[in-house]
Amino acid sequence: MAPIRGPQPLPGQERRLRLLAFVKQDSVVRVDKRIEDTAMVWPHLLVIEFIAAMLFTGGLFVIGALVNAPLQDVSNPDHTPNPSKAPWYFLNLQELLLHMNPALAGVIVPTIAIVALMAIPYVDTSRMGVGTYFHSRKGRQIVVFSIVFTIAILYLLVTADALMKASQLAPITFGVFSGVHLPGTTKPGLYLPFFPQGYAAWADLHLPGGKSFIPDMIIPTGVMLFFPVVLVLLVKRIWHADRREWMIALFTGFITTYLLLTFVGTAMRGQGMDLFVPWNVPPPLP
Amino acid sequence: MIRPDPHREGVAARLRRRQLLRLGVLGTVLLFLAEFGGFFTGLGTLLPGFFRPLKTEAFGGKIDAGINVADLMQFFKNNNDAPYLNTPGRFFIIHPEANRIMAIYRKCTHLGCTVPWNAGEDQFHCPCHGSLYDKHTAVVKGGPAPRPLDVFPITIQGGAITVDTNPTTDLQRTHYDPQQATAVS
Amino acid sequence: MLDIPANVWQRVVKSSLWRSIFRHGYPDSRKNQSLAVFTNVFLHLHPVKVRRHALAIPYTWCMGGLSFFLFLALTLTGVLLMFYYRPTENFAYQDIKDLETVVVFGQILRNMHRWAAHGMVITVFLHMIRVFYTGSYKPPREFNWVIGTLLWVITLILSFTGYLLPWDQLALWAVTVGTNMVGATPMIGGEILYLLRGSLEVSGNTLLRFYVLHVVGLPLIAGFVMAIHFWRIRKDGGISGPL
Ligand code: HEM
Ligand code: FES
Repeated sequence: MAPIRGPQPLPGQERRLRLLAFVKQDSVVRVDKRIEDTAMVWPHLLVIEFIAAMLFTGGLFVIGALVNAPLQDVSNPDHTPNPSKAPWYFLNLQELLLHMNPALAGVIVPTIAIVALMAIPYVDTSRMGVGTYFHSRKGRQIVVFSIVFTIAILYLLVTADALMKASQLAPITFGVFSGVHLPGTTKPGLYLPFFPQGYAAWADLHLPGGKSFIPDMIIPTGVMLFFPVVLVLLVKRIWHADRREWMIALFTGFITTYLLLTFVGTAMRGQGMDLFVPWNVPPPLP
Repeated sequence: MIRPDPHREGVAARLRRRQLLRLGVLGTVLLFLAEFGGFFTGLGTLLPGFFRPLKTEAFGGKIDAGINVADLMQFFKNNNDAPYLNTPGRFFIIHPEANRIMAIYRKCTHLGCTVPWNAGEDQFHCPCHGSLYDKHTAVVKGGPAPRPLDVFPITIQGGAITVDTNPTTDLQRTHYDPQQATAVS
Repeated sequence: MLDIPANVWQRVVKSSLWRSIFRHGYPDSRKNQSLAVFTNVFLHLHPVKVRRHALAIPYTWCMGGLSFFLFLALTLTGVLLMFYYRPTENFAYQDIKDLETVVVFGQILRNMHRWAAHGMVITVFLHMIRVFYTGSYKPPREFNWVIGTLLWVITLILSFTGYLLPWDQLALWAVTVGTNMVGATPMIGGEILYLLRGSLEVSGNTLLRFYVLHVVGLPLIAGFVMAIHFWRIRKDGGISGPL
């Protein structure tokens, strides 16, 4: 039998066990031990939580009293309103649907995005920069740069796609070019002269696999791989970014894309899911 | 690999047996989970499951068109071949050529909006992204739709028209072909 | 003004009833403050002490806590809505209309439920952003980040399932468009779509399915995953801070 170690119960009290009650500061649950000052949860944290909860309750009540939740006509499967949009937090996905193959936009890209998000801590495994915003001055610059870079590229891509898909039959006005009349069409708006029937129709005739292969799959996949790589290379080049820093660049690119596409889908898509400037979107048809 | 190794004795031999047990337990758990999942989801159309009821609403089954052949032909004649709409079945009956009719599923092949008949333009016009479909054959005339509207099989018996509205088995086509339509005598 | 006479107060807190409920004195000493937190089932999610910088609102924005608060508010308002709402094709829309017109405080409850749901989508997203930019996903908190991502997805699905329930044009077509995206899954898309909708197109079956998921299935799952999330925050050493 192994020798008994540790403090022994007094004779006659062997069965009197008690669970931990008070544990000293740097207890078992503290994974990283360090010296610092602490505050009691009661009252310091609880007061903050209480005030936050009260503010939110009050705010929610006021919003609820002022703004009514929407309720349209009873559902009618015979009649699709124009445009038909998903809830706003899915409009980024719906926006993707307009630019690529549905399986890619609706399933594959979101799945990869979520798995990639989950994988972040397993790629960036250093413990540097925990507990401070943006890691460093460099990190802050990288965030700003990534936001500007992503917004510029995305607007370019979305606009280019809309322009290329416009045709003589259906030129695009963006809500601002309704005064422009190009030759070869009766309707106002722009289209690219070298794709008079629209890029999609042109691709159907001239590209292998038609419009569903190169325009809908190859190009979007390429774009989605190319620009993140460029972003990482750029921040590595300019700031000699370490892993945490280029991770910041990628994540910033991701949330900027996420928010921007939500914005485009919500505020810049009108009838027929055509692209418009946000201040000139025609009202939806019932 | 799993048999006790004759060259080893004691703990080593027993360990192998443990591996066998462990594999057995793992296998049982996996099998159980698979059965559990299968019970709920079923397996495709082959095997029904809890969340796959055997009977749902009318749509998806064989539906009476609500009009007989003679009346339908009269309808086409009176309305200049405008399509005949059946709401519960979610299809139009169109008139591709003389003495042939065709039932088409009114779901846009682009992203699934309900395609209405646009009498003013004399064609089908999807409100969502503007796909256009031909009045007589429902092939794509413009817009992003990848293929013509899908066709539901029609059976005619004694003048009554029955349409099989199962969208998982409907006919997906790339162009119009008289074979797709049903002859009325 | 409303001072309780000291002797009455003493009598009350010394009574056996009071002491059967509260096992500690008024929390004005460290010992009693600690006991107040960890002898209380609701408060014991917290440690007894936290590092001072974890209290800083500019650090956490309180977004995790507020997400949880909104979840609770949604549960409360949602249960109240359930008293009047029937999830069938024939009744759903009319019940919502009734909530707005004939149920006293029905409209404001519906509004609060709706806006809190939108709010939670926003606060959870902001919370994720703050966790990322403060590097709080780094070891030992990797797994809690994974759990968190899961919570984000669950929050979105919860919101989405609720969107169908009013059964108006907005609901029907938003869900048609949304589920069509799922249907685009290669190979098994049609199958998943059918399981999700309980029919070939969005119908009364879909409404019932979404309802059950929205009021029972997903809140339960969310509750469990949140429990893990909170537990892990403590086990990983509390809110992150500079090394
Ligand atoms: C239903 C949604 C969620 C709830 C209710 C929730 C709640 C909380 C709360 C109360 C905290 C304490 C610190 C704070 O308030 O900032 C926290 C911390 C944390 N959360 Fe969440 N959270 C949710 C979603 C997420 C998401 C989407 C992520 C990331 C993908 C995430 C990752 C984390 C991590 C890593 C911590 C530890 C942070 C630290 O130690 O500084 N959580 N969460
Ligand atoms: S769904 Fe009909 S055109 Fe897009």
